[in-house]
Amino acid sequence: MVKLKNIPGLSALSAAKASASPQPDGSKGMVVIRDTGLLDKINLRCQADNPVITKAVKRMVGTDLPTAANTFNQAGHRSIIWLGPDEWMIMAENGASDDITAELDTPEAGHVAVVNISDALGAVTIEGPHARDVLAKNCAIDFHPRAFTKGMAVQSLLSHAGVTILCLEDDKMMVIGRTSFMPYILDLLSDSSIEYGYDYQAA
Amino acid sequence: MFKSSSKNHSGGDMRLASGGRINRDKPLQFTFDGKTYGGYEGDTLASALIANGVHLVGRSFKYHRPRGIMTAGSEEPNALIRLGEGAKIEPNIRATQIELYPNLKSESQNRWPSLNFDLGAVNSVVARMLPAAFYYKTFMWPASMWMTYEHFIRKAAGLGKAATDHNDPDRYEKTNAHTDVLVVGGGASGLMAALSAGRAGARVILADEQNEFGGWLLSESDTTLDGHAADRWIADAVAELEAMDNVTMLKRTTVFGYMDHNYLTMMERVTDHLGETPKHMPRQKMWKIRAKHVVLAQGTHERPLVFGGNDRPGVMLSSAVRSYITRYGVAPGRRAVVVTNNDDAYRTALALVDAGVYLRAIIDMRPAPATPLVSEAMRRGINVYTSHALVDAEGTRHVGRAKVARINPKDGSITGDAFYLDCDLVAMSAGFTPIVNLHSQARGKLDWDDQQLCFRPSTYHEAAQCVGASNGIFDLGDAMADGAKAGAAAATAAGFKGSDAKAPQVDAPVQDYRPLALWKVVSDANPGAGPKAFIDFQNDVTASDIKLAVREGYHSVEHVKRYTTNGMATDQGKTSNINALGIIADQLDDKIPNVGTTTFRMPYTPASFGGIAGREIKGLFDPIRGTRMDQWHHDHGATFEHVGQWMRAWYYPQSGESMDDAVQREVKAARTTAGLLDASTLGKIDIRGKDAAEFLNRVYTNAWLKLPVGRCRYGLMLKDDGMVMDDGVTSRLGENHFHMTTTTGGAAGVLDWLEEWHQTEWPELEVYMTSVTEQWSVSTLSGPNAKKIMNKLGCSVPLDDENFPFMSFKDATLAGLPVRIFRISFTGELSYEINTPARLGLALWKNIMAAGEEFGITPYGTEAMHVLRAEKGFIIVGQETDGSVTPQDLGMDWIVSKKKDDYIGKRALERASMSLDNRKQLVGLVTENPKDIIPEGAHAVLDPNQPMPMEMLGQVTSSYYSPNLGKSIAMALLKGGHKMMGETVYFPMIDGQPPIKATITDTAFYDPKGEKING
Repeated sequence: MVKLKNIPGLSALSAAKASASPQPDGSKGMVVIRDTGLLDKINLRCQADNPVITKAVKRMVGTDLPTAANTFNQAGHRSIIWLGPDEWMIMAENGASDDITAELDTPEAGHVAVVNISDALGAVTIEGPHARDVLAKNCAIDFHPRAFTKGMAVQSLLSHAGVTILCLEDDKMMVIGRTSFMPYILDLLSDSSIEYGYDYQAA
Repeated sequence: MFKSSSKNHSGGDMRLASGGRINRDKPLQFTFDGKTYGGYEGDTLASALIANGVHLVGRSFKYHRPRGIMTAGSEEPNALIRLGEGAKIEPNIRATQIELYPNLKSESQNRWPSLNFDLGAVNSVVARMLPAAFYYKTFMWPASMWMTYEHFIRKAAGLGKAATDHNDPDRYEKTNAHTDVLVVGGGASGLMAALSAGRAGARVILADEQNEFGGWLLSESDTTLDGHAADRWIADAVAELEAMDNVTMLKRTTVFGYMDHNYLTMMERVTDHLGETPKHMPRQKMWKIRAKHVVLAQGTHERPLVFGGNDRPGVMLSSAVRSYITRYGVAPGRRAVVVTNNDDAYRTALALVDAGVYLRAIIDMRPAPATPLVSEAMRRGINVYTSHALVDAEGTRHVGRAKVARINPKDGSITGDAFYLDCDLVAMSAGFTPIVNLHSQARGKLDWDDQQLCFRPSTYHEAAQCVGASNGIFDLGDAMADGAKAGAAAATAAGFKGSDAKAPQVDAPVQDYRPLALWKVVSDANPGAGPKAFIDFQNDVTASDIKLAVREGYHSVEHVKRYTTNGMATDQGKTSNINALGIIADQLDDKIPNVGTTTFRMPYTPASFGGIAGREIKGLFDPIRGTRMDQWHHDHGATFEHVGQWMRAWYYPQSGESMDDAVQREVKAARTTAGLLDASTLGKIDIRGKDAAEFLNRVYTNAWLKLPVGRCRYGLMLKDDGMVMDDGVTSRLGENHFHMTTTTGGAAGVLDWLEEWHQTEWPELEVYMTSVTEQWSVSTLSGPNAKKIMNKLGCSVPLDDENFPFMSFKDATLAGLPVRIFRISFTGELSYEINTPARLGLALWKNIMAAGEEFGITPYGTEAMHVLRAEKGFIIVGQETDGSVTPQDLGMDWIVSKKKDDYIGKRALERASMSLDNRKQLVGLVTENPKDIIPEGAHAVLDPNQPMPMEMLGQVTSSYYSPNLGKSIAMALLKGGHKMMGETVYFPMIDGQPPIKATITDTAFYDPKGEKING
């Protein structure tokens, strides 16, 4: 079988060129939006106490399976996001999904669904002192630093697009959406950043 | 004390020599009705106009009466101004809320040809013929004339005119915020609430509609806090709050809506006060707030007194007069009369005297007021007439004299001869109404306060607390303590340790807060000839209108409101509500609490549509989804059609081709050589688990348990009512693993549907669903040359029918790319649906196009796809079905299992009505004239000459010209259609053309035996 990582492929935002809007005077800092390019994503469905899976996740992602709602665990370039009581998503570097899948999707694991959705989703990071303000303009979730802290992952609507938003750092978030919505999501985020100035960096 | 006009004209003749919160170092110029005036930074348009002696600023809605500035706040009913130029024009803005900026351009409204000479004012002369509900009464008969009447009424009615250029150049935004405590109103008690909550560490948002915090304190010169002028305390409090990370301070922000669950909306006027909006900034921003606790510190509205001519320019609310003097350094007149039923207006009287205005007299309706303020007025030699009332404010375009008479304070009857006081300013006060609009919007209840003559908040529906004056606590010190307490309680309720911020030592005039309960002075004029005494200034409702409504039998306050339109203008009855209730109660000889009050509705003050829309306009109005091949379609001249949120390639016209030309070329190519369709938008669901086959067996109508691995099957999904909901091909990837496809539009709904049945009805089934719609890009290659192209691309699996039969799939490589190929067909031709990881979708598509070039491969869009499948009689869910169509209606009984115990919809299908012969059933149609194309949606009749309304059999669902058959074909849902094969039906045309004649046929028009499927 052909290895995907050996073939040049297009990410959701391959067609979006770098763009920027100047930082107005007096602003505390501009918003930096970055395309994450090709990141592998694996949807995982199983019971939270599946011993085979919890061990395999520990081995392949380097962290525990998160069981607290709306959180994610991260180790290096890999992370695992809680999406529901029996649903998670693993994110990893491009090309990693085959190996991870092989470890998770085994007969011993019993009732599990391990599905490669690397190409179904795109993601951008949004960074800067106004990152939270930009998200708040488009989403009803509470993004206050007290409420949305590092390690949280929420699923909501960014204006009209379904998204998962991760708090990577105090002033750095990741917005994950379906690939066909990513141009719209990028338009939303950059438009909402005009007030502060922004810099979009293509992958 | 007035500035001499010769010294400095920029601030206006009526500008006081000192005082006010205006910046005298920053003179500004502005225009009103084309004339240029001067003002200062810190002025409102209203204060600047008054400083220039301009009171007449508009004409009233119904009578076109001259109207002036009555208030100093957002409750202003009269001074509605049209602001700006060209596309930036905004009508109906309250002059009292417009902050002056350089070169502001404003115009009066509702006057023609000019403000001083207005032809519509004839309405005022014939006013007796325009009573309450005049329009209802007059224009009802004859009904046929309404269209004519309406034309003129519409022209005469309405306030202001919007910009004729609809391309508003300004930017508007929306945002969301959560908070522990939202404090509405930044006056004394609101600041105290914010201090308590903020110090406790709670997240606080403090919103105030004005340009600076401080509220009414900014207009009081006779009050000290902790021994200093009030503004020093305000500055300290604001500075402390602004220094707190947990507190957000929003000026120029009006909370205009209060919904369930402490969800509130507010509009921030971000740059309105600048005149020029910086490009990167929104003009306005709408905030959607979710608050754990709300503190409402909205203050009060002063009530006008109800007397003849109370709407004349120069007649103002007493508190507003005080505000213009103290806050804006402007004298609203040179000779003033103060008329009141309470103590507060005495403070205005003293402020007038202090400002050097000639105060003619205080007219006090109370019989024997003996409060410190009254004593102070007398001590200072002010004429005080007790048991007197102002009967008529006379004048033309401005008040010229006040007609005053002694009254009986019990019933308002005149007991003595009237006398006149020359004046150009009347300051009136009928007491204060706590602002309970938001409390009431949030379904809070009110109690009548018999002493203070006002409604006060009683019970709350939300986690909220009204404080200070809006809680009916008028004493400043008490109000501040009330705010502090509520702020602490709110913070505590939100999980913080709150304690009351200490209120400052207040030194202010001691007041009696009990006004005289006398709602209207009885006129001494002959019945019906008295001067108009207005209740609702914006909608031109008079005391007589209210009385008339009651006499005509409208006793419910809700009926009186709608009959007279009292309180229904854009100011929501802020100044009129209580006066109207008082008069209704008087007429009914009842008490106000028994009359009740109307419900306040949002918005508190009008909110712009721009702000409500925010950036959800143009490209951001709705997402547009494109596939990975989207750019290729654009580059190759495709036109697009909406399919849900997707934009799909519709057809690819070549130069000079019409849509028909292009579609027929594409359709022909797919049948004679090869066509390529971007089918990526199809819904795709990965289904896994040991019970996956059983699960499919329950959600589809046909049998799934025995489908061999590697094979595909078409399935119909029904709703539990037995009606077709979705269809698609599902393939068995492994013993416990399936790949389902759904319609493009149905994808999300089907996944939800499957999850719901699994989670709520069959949790025992071990099965998981995962959406993979966008994981795969799909290129569908169709046509007799499809196999040759596949081979040319180096397909890694043999394509012969034995190894790779119809309705099976293979994992393979094609053009070196990993693919999953489904041998399924929506065209009836040999067809391969080639799936590849989406990142490679465009590469695969280009490879196929290149390989197919020698065969004349033709990309085809959704329209050609529709024709191709219609030639085969394949249905499209949503086109041949509309939620009322069963499989049997579609002639698809073959797909409904007779052996399965159950599946969704089975029970519904067993109802007798589902098998009636006269159900609408899907049939084919061939027109007599092969060139006639029946419009989709056309209705079929048996006899086109029958009288109307004709008996209709049903409607056409799909209709095309088939280039492969050389004739027009259609499908239709006709009553009893399955038993009408060969019969003739007619389709009457609405455009007067002769009916189209057609014969009912089977739906399989092309290759009915399916011989083309293997190429």
